[in-house]
Amino acid sequence: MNSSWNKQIIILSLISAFIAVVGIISTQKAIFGSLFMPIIFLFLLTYMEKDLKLSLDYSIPSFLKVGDHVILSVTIKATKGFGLLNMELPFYQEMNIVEGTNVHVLFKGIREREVTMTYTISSLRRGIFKWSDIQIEYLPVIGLKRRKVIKFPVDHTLEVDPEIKTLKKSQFQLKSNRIKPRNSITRMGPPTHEFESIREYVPGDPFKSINWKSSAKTSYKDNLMVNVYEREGLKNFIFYVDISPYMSRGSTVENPLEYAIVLVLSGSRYLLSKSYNVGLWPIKLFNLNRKEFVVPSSGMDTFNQIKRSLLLMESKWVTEPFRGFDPSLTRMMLETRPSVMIMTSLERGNASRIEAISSSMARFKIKPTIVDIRAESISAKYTDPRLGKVFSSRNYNLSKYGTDHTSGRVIQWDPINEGMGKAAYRLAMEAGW
Amino acid sequence: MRPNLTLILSVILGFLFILIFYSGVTGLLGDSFLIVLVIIFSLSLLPIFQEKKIEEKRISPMKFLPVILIGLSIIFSSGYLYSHFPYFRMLSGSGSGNTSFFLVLMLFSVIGIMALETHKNIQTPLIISGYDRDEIEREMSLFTKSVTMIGLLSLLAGLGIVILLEGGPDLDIGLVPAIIIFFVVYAVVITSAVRKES
Repeated sequence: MNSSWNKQIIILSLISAFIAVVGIISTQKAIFGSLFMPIIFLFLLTYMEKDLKLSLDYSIPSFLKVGDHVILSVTIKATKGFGLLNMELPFYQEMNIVEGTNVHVLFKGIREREVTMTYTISSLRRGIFKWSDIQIEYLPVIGLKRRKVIKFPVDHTLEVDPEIKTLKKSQFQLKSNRIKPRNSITRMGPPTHEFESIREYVPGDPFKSINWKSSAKTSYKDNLMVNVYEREGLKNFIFYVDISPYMSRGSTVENPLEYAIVLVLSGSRYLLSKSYNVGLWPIKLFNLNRKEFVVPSSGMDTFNQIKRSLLLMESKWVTEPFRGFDPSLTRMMLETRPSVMIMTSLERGNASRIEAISSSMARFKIKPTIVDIRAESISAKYTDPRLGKVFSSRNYNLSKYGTDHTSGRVIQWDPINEGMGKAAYRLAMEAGW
Repeated sequence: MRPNLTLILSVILGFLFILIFYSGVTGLLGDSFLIVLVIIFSLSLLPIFQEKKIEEKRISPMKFLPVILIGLSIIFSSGYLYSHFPYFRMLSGSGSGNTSFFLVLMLFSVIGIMALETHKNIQTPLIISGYDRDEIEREMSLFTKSVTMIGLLSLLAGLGIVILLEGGPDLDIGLVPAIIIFFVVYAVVITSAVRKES
């Protein structure tokens, strides 16, 4: 218990000594009861507080999506012991308690106690987190020095997936303002059964692809119409994600990197559904771990690999100048000439670096799409408005910092003022999805 | 502080003891002592009704004073000191015996007040720290209730010891040997209570 209670217990024991002295001086035999009462009281407390036995059972998730509400429950059973249990139930950074609390007190009295504690959480950020231990501080009713801290480790981690925006094919098809062949020169697979569009017949088209109904409707053109089906193993698409500190402006849960991750995941899912081979690389020049990049491929396995890599992606301080791409990426660009989308947040400090990367891609005949995720609105939510000048427009004027339009197409996105759906639509137009 | 078992028993038994003390009071000094006792006991109840804003590390010593005052009144009303200073007598002969016998009631009351004060001391900082108020109220009430139960058990055991000593076969061990036995028991229990975690 707390120190004041223990002090009082000590005073009580001294009181009983005082009563003993009173008994001697007054020669009152009847005072024996008062003499022994505090001692019996102390004895009972001391006897009961020993041998605390605790057992725990908990229901804690292993998977979660950003924004989901999940109920956690911990059941504690205390047998023996006599004192206060001050408990801290599992949590992790970037967790928000929506309902209830993860700190509880329980008094283990004379009887056995079994209590179930619940609280609802939501995750603010994607990532792989380790649950904190269940920590229980036992404060026995007597004995300040006998307090114990008992830890019950939670033996699994939590994977928090980012929110994924479902991009619909109908939003983008046949609307691109860029005339750009989607089919790779090097990789063209057989047609699938997935309908893509309708166009006029050209010699060489298989007869089975003629759409007779549509041809009848448009007979005035004297031309047949054919169905176009999507092809397997189409063009490679690489997301190249900047992980410099400029991507972490704002808060840990809301910054350009977090928006880039959601955009990459949503885009990956869309492109994979169109049978693209999708890959991912962080803009990291050295010591690139195998788990950090994903070689372009198709299917759900690739999507899961990309998701896994993105979960672990954190912005880092990059100081080395750009001297060339990672060998794995170089080989991929040489072999397949993929479409590349660079996710960044252009600032004075990284504009020249991004420009250098973009220019270097020209050697591989690749003109990347640079998605510049603006951090001004995000930062404005977390910084003092008086610092507004720091984020004035002159700080991110691309032409001023040398990102010319020959090395890449720059698309700006202000995630606070433009939703993911609209942004994705714009990007799809520019990138020719 | 919402009325609960501990509070009711502490107040009732405390004032019941004062009533017993009152029945044995003799002389002007005794009357004055009685008034002081009532005032001090009433004041010792105050901290358990006060709303605390922050964690209160200090404890109110007021609750222990009635026991000390009663002890002094017994010393001056019977035994060795009484024979030397009879003019300080505050309790009659039977009053002194009754007061000695029922002092356990006041001790119980002190234990109750201790529990209630601790309840308040622990509750306030925990609520500020984000713990659930209802949960703390419930758990700390259980603490005071448990302490009260053990206090009552000790009270009955204490009275049982006296009744055994008075009504049982006369062991005739005398007061001083009895006090020595007490101190041996006292030393064992206190050593056990305050020993360090091994």
